[in-house]
Amino acid sequence: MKVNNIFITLPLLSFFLLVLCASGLTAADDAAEITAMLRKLGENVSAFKSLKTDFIQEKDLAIFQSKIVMKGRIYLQKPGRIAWHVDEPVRYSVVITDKSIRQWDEDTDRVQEIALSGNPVFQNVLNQLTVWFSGDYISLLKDYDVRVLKKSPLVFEFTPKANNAAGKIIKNITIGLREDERYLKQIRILEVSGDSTTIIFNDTIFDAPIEGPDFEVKRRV
Amino acid sequence: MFDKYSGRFYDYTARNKRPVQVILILLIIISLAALYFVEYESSMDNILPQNEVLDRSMEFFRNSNIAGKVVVSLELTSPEKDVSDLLRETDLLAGSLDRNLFPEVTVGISESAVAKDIDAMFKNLPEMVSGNELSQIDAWIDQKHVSQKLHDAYLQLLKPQGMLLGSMLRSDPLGMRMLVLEKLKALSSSTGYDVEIRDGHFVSRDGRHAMLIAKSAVAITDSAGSKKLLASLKDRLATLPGYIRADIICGHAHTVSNEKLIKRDIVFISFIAAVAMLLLYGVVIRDFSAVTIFMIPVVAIVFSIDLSYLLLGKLSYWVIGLGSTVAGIATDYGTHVYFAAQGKSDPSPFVKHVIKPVSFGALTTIAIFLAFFFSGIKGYNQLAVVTIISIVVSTFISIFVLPHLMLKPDGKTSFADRIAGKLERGNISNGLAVLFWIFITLALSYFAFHVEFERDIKNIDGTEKEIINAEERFHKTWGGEKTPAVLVVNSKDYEDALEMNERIYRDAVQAVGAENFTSMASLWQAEKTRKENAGRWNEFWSEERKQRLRGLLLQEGKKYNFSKNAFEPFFESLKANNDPPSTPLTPPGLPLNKGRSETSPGDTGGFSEKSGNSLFERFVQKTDNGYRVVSFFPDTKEYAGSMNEISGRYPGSYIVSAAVLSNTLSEVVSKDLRLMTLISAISVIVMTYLCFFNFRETLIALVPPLTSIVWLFGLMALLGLSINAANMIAGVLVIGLNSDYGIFMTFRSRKEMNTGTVMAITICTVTTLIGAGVLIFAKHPALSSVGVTMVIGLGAGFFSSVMVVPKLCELFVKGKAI
Repeated sequence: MKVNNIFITLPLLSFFLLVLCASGLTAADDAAEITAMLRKLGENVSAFKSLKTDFIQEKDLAIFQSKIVMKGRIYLQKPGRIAWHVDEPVRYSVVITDKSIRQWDEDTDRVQEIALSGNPVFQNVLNQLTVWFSGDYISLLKDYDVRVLKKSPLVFEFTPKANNAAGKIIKNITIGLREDERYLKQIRILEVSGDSTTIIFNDTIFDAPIEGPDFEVKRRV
Repeated sequence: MFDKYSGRFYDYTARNKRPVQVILILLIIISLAALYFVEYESSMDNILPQNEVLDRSMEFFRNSNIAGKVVVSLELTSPEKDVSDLLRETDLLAGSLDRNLFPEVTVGISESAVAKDIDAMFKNLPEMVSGNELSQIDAWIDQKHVSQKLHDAYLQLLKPQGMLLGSMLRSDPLGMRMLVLEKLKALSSSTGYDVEIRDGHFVSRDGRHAMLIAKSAVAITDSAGSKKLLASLKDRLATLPGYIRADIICGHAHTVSNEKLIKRDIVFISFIAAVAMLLLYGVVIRDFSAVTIFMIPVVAIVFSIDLSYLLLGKLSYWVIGLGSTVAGIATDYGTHVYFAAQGKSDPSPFVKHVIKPVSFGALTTIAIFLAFFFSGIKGYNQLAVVTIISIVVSTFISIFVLPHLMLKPDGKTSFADRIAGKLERGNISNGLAVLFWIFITLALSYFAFHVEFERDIKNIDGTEKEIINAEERFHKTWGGEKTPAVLVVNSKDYEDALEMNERIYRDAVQAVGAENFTSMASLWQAEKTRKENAGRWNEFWSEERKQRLRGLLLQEGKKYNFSKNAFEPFFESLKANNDPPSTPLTPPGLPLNKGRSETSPGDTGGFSEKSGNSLFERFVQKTDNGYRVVSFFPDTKEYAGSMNEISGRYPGSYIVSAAVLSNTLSEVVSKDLRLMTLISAISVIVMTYLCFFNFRETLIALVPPLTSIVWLFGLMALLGLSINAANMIAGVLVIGLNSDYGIFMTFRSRKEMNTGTVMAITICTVTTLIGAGVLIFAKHPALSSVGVTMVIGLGAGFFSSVMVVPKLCELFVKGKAI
């Protein structure tokens, strides 16, 4: 009886250890695979110098009575220039560079420029935004845990690590890629408070000729 | 009497020359061995005057550890590369530095730490809002303002920069946190440097430069250590990719560069001087025993270092360096004795004849250095001891040992004798020379009063162009050329320091304006004030006021699609603030965990405490005796004056300003110099009179030192040169030498005996001029200024000694010729 027990216990223990090792290997394999995927994505997005895309943004925030849906266009020029033009529900334009934000809105009809150096809160938010729009996510691995939610088309989920200050605000960020994996199709930011913002990109054109006025907020006046 | 006893002693040493020589050799061996036990120090304190302002400033710089930092500015040189490449390489470089040499390396401020500090500040808002600001908030609670605020909030939430700000707007609909952020902005923009934080790194505004700051384990004064440190850093920088250029900014680079330049200059000077000396002695004097003249100061300085160490304790390196230079003056005494004795079958009467002028020449030089005892600069007191001992020893050896070491004449007249004879017989001093001297001296005496003291030490800094260029590039990129002045508050108790800082801040704002005075008191006050603020805040948010605001937010919020409970988090936070804090509030910054006794260790009140990551680290420092809180203001005479007046009202506070420091240094040194000059002048006059006991001869003997002072200062003013720490000592040396020449030549004019005085003076001047003349071409500005001083001073002294003094003696002194 005693012998039998040993014969049963040992294979079970061996199997258990094997499963443990295999799961460890799987986790390591996953991490390596994700890193390879993100690196490939980084290579893909580095292939274009500029981008023009339409977008729809849905804001589901507790501060608002109802969900807000915005429509507009985004122009992106490397390195570090983003123009954001919205037509609904309020017409406004924002041009972001590494130094300042230049903005105009229909309600006030004023052009305003804010230096980022004096505004750490905006600077932080825009730094985050620039990274998410860049598509180059390898550098985020030190601050976020990454999970693949779907392989075709690729969908990643980024969750702030415990020591990442962004974790106080952001619960997770889901990035969905286009079929050709050249850029984002959708980005969803879920906040700790339950607020969420979803941006869906449509009609994305790479290296389209971007003209000076596309980065002017006044052109819309 | 002097002649009688000195003559007897000379005879005694002549009779016992072997035992005297043996004793001297033994003493030399003992002294050389004793050198091993002498301790030295390299502290800068010894070369600074004893002055409260200077002491405080030096203490501040020592403890603030500013000087020990090494900064590397990394620049992207390829347009193909971007800031992420730069930051990656910066991190790799930081990680690769030798931690034994660079114990702490910082490449930026953690954004999460800043976010944590901002978050902590928002939580402590009730304590940070003053009574005046509450009145301002009260004015905001009206329909128009609330409507505007909500419109702005609505637009902001729709824009990309408002993407994550929903929660923040819910807890602050009036934008009260902006009151804190504005102050924070003022604090962070006061560094004088143009720095952005990107991905936790220091990045320049153009995004093409990154900065690495390393704390160094090597003192700036440690030359060998600095070399090792720079070599290690350069070794690491060499591994950077080709698209990154690095500039090193640190005091160590100046130390190494200055030493390199001085060494290069000394090798060059030594080579030229050695060749010239060999030619002079090989061609003109042609006597191997003359070499002993140059050994006398070497032996004297060895004795002097040992004896000075016994008397004073640790000796400063620079005192030893300068003392050794000054000791070189002793070759004059040896040379004078040598030419008196040379070629004589019985040198005794000739040597005895020069004992008096040589001794009094030495005594006048000693008299000059006696004045150094009255200086407020500790190093000058040490220098006086070292120099006086070496001159006494040199004079003794020159008179009582050297003549017995000289080779006996072979009966033939030597080449040197023939030149000496010609020089003695030649009548080069005439009325025309005297008239020329009067004219030049009168003309230069006008300019002599306009010579200035060098206030900027950079002008005698011999740092290489490459380093200066790197610093210029650094300032062009990062700013920081104009260092602000600092107001320092010291206290044993942290809260006391904060309270005083707060009171000073209030006074400073009235005196110079808030925009010109950056103090953490604008953001973080003493606990007492913070408690008062918190109490006022709680009283302010009465139920009635809260209801009024709630109603306005609801009414105006509907227009912008805000929900009914959109701003409930704000009202919840007001409820929370009404409860007293469970733990006492703790001060921010570096010393948090060592602060007040009631604060539990490690409790940082929500602020980041890691060194280099706190917003307040720049403003609060832990010292050995307590705490130091610093504030900054523009370093101008006007502001420094106002702030000095304010700090005078608060014991324990003082200002540190480069402008004030420079002025104080200049004033104190000038005062010291005036006192020393007066004492030296009186001592030299007394000593010279004691030599001659004749008023006219005394005046004539003083002509060379006076001429050298007037010509030197006059020509320096005309050439746009100024007096600095290095050429000041050279000037003293020149006056000492010229006093000797004045005494020698006046004594010679008595025509009692031919002792080859003109030849001795000429040889001395030529040898000194060779060394000094080469110095003019030195690359190091300090050495070059010494060269100019020596050449002008000695030239003036030699001219007046040889070409003016004899004629003046002929005109005004009745000869005592044999």
